[in-house]
Amino acid sequence: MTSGITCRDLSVSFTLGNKKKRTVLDKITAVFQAGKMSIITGPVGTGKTTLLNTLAGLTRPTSGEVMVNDQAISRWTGPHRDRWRRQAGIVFQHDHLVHDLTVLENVMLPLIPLGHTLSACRSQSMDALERVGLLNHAGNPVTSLSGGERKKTAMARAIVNQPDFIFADEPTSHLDAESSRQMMDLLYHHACRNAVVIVAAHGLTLDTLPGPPLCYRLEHGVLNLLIS
Amino acid sequence: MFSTLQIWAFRDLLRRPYESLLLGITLTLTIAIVGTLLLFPRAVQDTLNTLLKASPSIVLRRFDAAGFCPLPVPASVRVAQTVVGVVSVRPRIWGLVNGPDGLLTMVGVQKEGMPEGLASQLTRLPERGEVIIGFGVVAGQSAGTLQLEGVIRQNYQVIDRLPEKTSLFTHDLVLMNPEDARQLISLPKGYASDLAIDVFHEGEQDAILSDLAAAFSWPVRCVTRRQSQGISASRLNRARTLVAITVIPAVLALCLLVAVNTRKSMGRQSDLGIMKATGWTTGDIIRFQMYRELFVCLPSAVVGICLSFVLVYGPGASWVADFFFGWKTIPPSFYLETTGAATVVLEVAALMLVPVIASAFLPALKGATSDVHDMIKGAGRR
Repeated sequence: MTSGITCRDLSVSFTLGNKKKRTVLDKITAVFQAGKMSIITGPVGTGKTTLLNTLAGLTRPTSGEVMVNDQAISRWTGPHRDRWRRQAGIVFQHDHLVHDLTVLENVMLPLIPLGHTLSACRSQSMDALERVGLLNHAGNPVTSLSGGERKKTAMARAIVNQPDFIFADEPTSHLDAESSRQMMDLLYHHACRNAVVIVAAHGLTLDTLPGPPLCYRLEHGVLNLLIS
Repeated sequence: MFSTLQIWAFRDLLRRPYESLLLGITLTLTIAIVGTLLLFPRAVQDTLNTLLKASPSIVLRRFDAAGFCPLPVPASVRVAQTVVGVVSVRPRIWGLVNGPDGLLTMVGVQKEGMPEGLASQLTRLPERGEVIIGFGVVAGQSAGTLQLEGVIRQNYQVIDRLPEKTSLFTHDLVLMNPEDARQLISLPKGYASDLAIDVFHEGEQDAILSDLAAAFSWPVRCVTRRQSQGISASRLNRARTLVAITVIPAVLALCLLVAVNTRKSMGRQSDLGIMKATGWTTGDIIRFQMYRELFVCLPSAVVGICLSFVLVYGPGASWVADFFFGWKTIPPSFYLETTGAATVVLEVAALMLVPVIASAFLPALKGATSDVHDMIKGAGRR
């Protein structure tokens, strides 16, 4: 059981080509509670993806900390963070599927190192595919999918092992209104299971949300709480 | 029986079946070539050593101004036995005679003094008018009679062939009755071609040479077993030089294979990044890559090494002997020595398998030190 993700004075800056520093996240302090869906909005290029990547342990902050259950996971070494990500499901902005694999195999990917039998991995993945409505595409190569179907595959991969943390970057891009609602329902369902669900989206309309979210706005490197 | 990760690694191979098959075949053939090149000189060396162990410690010959000449048996044996360290002395009758395909070494044999190993493998010793021949004496013919020409020309009945295992030394050998041998090379009764002397201890071979030479009242020349081994070893140099030359393209091919494999694995950094993002640890990825490489490398190594053993030790591999020594006759059969063969297997494994498997480790190790996000970024560019 997790209480949430806390970030304290979280800063991320990049060195640009002309040796100048660009600060993307500037001393952000926030608590993303378990059992609630947190939505981060903001204009394009304000650092929503960077924030999600930092929270998910995919990249290290320049300063500050990301805390989970009172442990500073941002200070952990790579192997520890890799292991921690077994509790996390990530939907990337650019779906990042393995092109050599089929839809089913992509969804099975997080389950393979967990030591389950192949048939258990398969049935769990089929279940996830059914929930996103892609069961009949299971055996297809991902290269044959449309943008929306790829997004749904990425969503199925993120939820397949019932994670405690879900980081979804633009989960409704390339999707029609009905599919968007379906994806948000899925994320809300996981939030109700006491998972920490953080969604980054720049064009999300709140009426697609099934329940009340925590809404943040990220602008000029600063995160402000809009609705609680 | 197999873990999910192992099955996943095998499935990964099957995703590119032709590429995996090609890699397996290339690896098998390269291992077979390198294995054969490493195994052949060792097989010759081992066989020489095994056969030389059965040879006398010292061979003593008399010579005069014209060259080697026969020595009187009773007097020579008596003198040799007076030298401290000598255990036994055997007079031998032998010489070079013309056979149907060229010069042959003819040896007169009798029951006493014959090497035990050889005697036990012959059905019987040749009587007058009979011979036992080596495998290369009449190549490709089912010999019934053999015409030999020394001082006289005569036909002999072939009653047996010498064991194939000894053919490295005996392929041009003709064993015959001592009386026939004397007649053929015109050796007077009571004389021998040389003396085979055995000493009490291996280390005494060199030590008693001066005593032996001094004991005889006529000039003699002695060759020890160790010197014979040295002569044989120098003959092997040709094979070793050829190995060094022919191994180069094989090693270059291996380097290319490793480079291609490494680049292929490095090109999958983005996939490895995605795997890490979905909860795979560096250890999982290393195990996955290792299983995938082993599924190809291990069968290739086993088949390749077996192939090289068949080529060197198996029948019908005449091209190896022909290539290295120019033996046009039936190829010699080699002794398989476990220690030597094991060394070659380890050499081949180290030479072939370690770099290929290491090439699978590199991308995973590189990924261990990289940010997962940086690894994945490559996928977006695809």
